[in-house]
Amino acid sequence: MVGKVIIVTGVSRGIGRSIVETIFKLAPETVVYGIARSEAPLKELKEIYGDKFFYVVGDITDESKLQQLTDDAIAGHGKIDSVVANAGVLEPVARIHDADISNWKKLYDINFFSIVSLVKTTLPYVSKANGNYVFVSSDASTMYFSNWGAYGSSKAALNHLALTIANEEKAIKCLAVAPGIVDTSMQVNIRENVGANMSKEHHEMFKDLKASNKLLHSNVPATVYSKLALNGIPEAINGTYISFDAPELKDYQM
Amino acid sequence: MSKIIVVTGTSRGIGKAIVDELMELDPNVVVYGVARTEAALKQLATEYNGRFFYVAGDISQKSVQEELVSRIKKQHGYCDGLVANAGVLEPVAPVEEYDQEQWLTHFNINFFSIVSLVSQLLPQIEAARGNIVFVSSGASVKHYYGWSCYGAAKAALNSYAQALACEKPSIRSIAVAPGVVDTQMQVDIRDKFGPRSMTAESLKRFTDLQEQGQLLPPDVPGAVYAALVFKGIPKELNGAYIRLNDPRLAES
Repeated sequence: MVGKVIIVTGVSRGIGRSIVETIFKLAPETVVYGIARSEAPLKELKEIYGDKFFYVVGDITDESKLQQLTDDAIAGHGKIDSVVANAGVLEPVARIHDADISNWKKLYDINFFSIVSLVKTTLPYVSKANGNYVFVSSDASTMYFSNWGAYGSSKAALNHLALTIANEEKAIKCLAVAPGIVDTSMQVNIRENVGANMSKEHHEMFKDLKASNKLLHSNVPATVYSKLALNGIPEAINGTYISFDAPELKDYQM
Repeated sequence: MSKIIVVTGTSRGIGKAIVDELMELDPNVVVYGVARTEAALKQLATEYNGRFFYVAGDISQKSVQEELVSRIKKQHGYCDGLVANAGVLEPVAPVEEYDQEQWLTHFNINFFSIVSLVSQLLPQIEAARGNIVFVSSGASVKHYYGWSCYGAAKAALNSYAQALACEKPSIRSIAVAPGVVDTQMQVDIRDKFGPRSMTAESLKRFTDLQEQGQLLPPDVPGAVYAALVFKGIPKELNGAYIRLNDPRLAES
């Protein structure tokens, strides 16, 4: 059975890795092309999933790596059905008047510009397949978290990109989905590192979420992203920003 | 004490109108402007003798921002507010024509330079319990064919305005869409970007408005931005994104 061919970014750990695992659990005939900076976890995934998982080691801000990933998928399997833009970073977390603009630009390179580039590179193929672009967004795109101005605004930009792409490119669908607050290394970073640059109140809030076991296992949002990539984005919400646990995504949840 | 207001993009269009409206609001207000066209700035300095100062240059250049901030510090030593107005529309193109350099240039002008300038002026504006006003756009919440870059940068700007308000309780911030205004940007849409890069359907909105004489004169949004930065942003709108005709602005 010819499975879907799906590109996922940031697959070495966290939500990205869970997306890969969940895709294969739901549809073992799928082929996944992944990218991340660390080779070891990529090799691990290759060992587990054999000729269903392929990878490029590299930084998503390197347009040549995105091109390579795309070319590999086409050369290897002749199509791209869906793209899940998951890779992202949180830092810089700093007060607005301490804004080091070069750090803001680096964040935008990863969280935003690389995703526009990824869409551009894959668009001819995803269009042909009438496929789906799924963006990992964040609650921070509409809510304030202390000193997350760079991250939050980059996710707001990403939400807007989903809106434009969905309306410009009628052959594909695009959706920006917030994953909730997930038990990944980004949360570790908040509790143990950048939290010190947040307000005490918000820092404590994130620490409490972990302590009271309220962080989501990455499988929970990963299920939504995986099902969207496999089964397609519902027409009714095409081009919007939505939370993983929204009622409109009932059929995509765990 | 005279209010000191910084306005960017003051050589023409909405920015120039903001300056004119501010000068009319109060005989003592002082405006610091920045734009690339020195001749236009000189004209304002002459017209508003002693009340208009400027730096000529590209606001996305750090050196220009620093010169502006240092001039204000040296000459007056305080600042009551900022209207971040300077902005460009291009690149106008569908996403499949994404050009990293063009998008970076755009974001440098329309977003990063604003973040940078705000962070440099914040200490003074906080001390003055002042106001920071961002010229946003309806494109920040809608899609226009070929405007993915502009729209995303304005969405980022709205988000930043909200974060600023939450983070800095001693100032107020607001992002305001000016409507479709009779400026060079609209000429460029009708004559250049539209025919070249937009669909006929998406361009029609703009050409229709012009044909029906419904483009706003720049002094209409100019007056609103001037009032917001000078008289103050209403508390209930702190951190918000609104359109020019928002009923809650009635008293401004």
